[in-house]
Amino acid sequence: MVKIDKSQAGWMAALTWLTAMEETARDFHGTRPKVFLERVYEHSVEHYLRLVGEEYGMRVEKTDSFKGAVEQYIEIGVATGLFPDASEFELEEVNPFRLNVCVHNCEYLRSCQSLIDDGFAIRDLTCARIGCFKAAIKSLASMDCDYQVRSFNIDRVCQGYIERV
Amino acid sequence: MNTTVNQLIHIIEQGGDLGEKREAIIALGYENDPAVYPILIKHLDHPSTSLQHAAVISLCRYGNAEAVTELGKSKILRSSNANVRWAAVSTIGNLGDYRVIDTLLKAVEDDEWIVRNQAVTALKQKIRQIAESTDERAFRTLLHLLAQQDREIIELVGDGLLAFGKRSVEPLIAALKSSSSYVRENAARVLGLLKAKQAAKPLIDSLKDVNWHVRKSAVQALGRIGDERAVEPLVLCLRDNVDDVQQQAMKSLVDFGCVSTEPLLNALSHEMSKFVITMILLTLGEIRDPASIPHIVAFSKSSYFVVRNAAVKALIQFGPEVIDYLTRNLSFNQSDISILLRDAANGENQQNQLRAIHALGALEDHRAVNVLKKLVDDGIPGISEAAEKALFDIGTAAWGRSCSLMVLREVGDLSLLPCFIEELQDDSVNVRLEAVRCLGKVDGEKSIEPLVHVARKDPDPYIRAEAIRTLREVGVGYPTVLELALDALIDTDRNVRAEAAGLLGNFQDDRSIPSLLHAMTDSHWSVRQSAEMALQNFADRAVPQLIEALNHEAWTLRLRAARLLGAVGDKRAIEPLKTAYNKKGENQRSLEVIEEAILKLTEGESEA
Repeated sequence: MVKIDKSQAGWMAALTWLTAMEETARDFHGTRPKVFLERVYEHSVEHYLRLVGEEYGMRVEKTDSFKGAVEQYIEIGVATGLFPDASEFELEEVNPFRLNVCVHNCEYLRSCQSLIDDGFAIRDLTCARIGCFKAAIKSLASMDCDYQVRSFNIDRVCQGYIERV
Repeated sequence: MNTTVNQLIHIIEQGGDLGEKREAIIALGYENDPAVYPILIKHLDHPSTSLQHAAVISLCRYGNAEAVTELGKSKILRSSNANVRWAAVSTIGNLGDYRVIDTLLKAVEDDEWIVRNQAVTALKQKIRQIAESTDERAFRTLLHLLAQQDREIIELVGDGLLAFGKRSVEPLIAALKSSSSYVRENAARVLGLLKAKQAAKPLIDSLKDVNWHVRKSAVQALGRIGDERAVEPLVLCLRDNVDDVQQQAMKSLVDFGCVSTEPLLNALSHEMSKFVITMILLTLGEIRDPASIPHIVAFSKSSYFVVRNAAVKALIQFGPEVIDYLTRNLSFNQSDISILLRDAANGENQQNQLRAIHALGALEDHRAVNVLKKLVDDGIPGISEAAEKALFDIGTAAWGRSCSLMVLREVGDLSLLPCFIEELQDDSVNVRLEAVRCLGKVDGEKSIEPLVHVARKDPDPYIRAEAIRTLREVGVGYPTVLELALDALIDTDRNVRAEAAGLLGNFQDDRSIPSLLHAMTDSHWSVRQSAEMALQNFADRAVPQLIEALNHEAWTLRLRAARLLGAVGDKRAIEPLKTAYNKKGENQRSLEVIEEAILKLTEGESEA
């Protein structure tokens, strides 16, 4: 029997849960699962930030900017092993309420690719990465916003934006 | 010994530097003299790899097959010099017969690609030679090669064994039980290539192999052999947990054609796994047996997204043949259901109540939703569950209509327009969404008015935005669409407003310029941006209004107007921009943009 490395097993479990969640959302909401998934990402980020505080004593500072919130979330993500490297992301602040996000080598690329293969439009992608950044802004900067994927998997790079509503 | 050989041997043994010796060894290879061979063999042991290399090359030219034994020794085949190894492999390939295959196989694993490449080339050559002979020992060598992983080699082995015909089938069947998974995998593959009918049964047994490569290979072989006994076991392979095996099973079943339909439909009737159902549906779609259409249509109502999606893909494969089935699926009950609703709500006679609830569910009538939801909330045992089930049927029926539209969009034509228009009234947002997309696809004049109506009146902003997005493709040039776009700029939903601005950009009607300028003061960035991009399409026609906008109270409008003036490149804007730049209290960001615009407009002038 093949033995799977513990950290890999953790990722496998996380990806499986995320895929299951996204698929369930599509079971009930068809091609428009975004509202449901936005809530999932929101819960996920809230729980994650709480967990790193309670279990690992990490202090999570509140911030007052879009970019600051996402940067802090990335910083926490890198420190806790959620992201391998901060350079996987590029953030461009168009204005204080609009942030362009570039994601390199996304772990969730396969799941989005299968949706594209199934005929989904890029704007229908719910993107767990940018979705969680949006949730982080809500949690850390107390600002509600919307997000959208603008381009997908061009040389393993995806782009999207987060905008205040 | 001739004089030339003598001279060359003298150079090699007595004099000269390494270069001269090397040249002499190389030259010896051209001499057909018995004295040459021992000299060349002797130099295989020389500490200089350059001379070793020269000796190997010359041995190849000299052409004595006995050299193969020496060349196959570690001192040469494991030489630190890749050129020596490469030349040795090449020489062994040229001089040796099928017995050198083992030696070449070792070289296939060399660190250097050039050596590996040469080894594979030589191996292929040997296998071709074996295939052309009928030598029993050569045949065994081919069987032995089944343990190889290189696909090209295996293909050649297959061709080789094919040349031996029926004689190779029994040994190959025996090889299906080998302890090596490579042998089992390749034996199955070759049996498939041989189309060996007698191998069907053992191959069916191999479908349970622990190694998925073997299972996949057996599945492929059974598809090639075409023995109908394999169909049911292949259907079971659609349940394999490895995607490659499933995909191969699908291909093999498609090769069997309509023979597979019945076993597939049987499996579909009791299968619970969504992945397996998906595979069965896709297989049925590829087979395109009309008998399966109603069954596939039924799965378009599945509560599982992936299943619905597979049903859509499968149905599209049939083309226009499915239209009748799907339009039937779209029609919904319009008869009077007031008695059923009354009985469903009336708890005095539980039997009647249950019958009414079941009937409402079976009719898939969305008008019953409120009554049924109340019954679920009341929580009366038996009634509540029945109401829940009826609600489920009504809900999934909407998926069925939505999927039918997705298929019709791909396979239908303009004649379906009335059908699409009717679906715009559906209670389900998903059905309406697909109906809008269908109208976009038929691209006829008659689809414009319904789309405009949806864009104005649909209660769901997503549908309104989708209708406008669709009109950007099919509605440009129609006056009603222009009016709609202007009105939609003040829609309550920002996505609708952004799409409307985009639509106006496609129209490029000058009457929309003031509205677009106003949209550049919208509270949402995406609307402002969309309006700016739309105005860019107007080029210099918008310049006077843009100049005027430089004095507008909203700084976002001033900024965007300046940016547009810079992009359009009309010199009339230079002075107004300079005035705006010198205006007191201007926003810093606006100043930067104005400066940039002035620079763009004056660039040519300064050069001149």
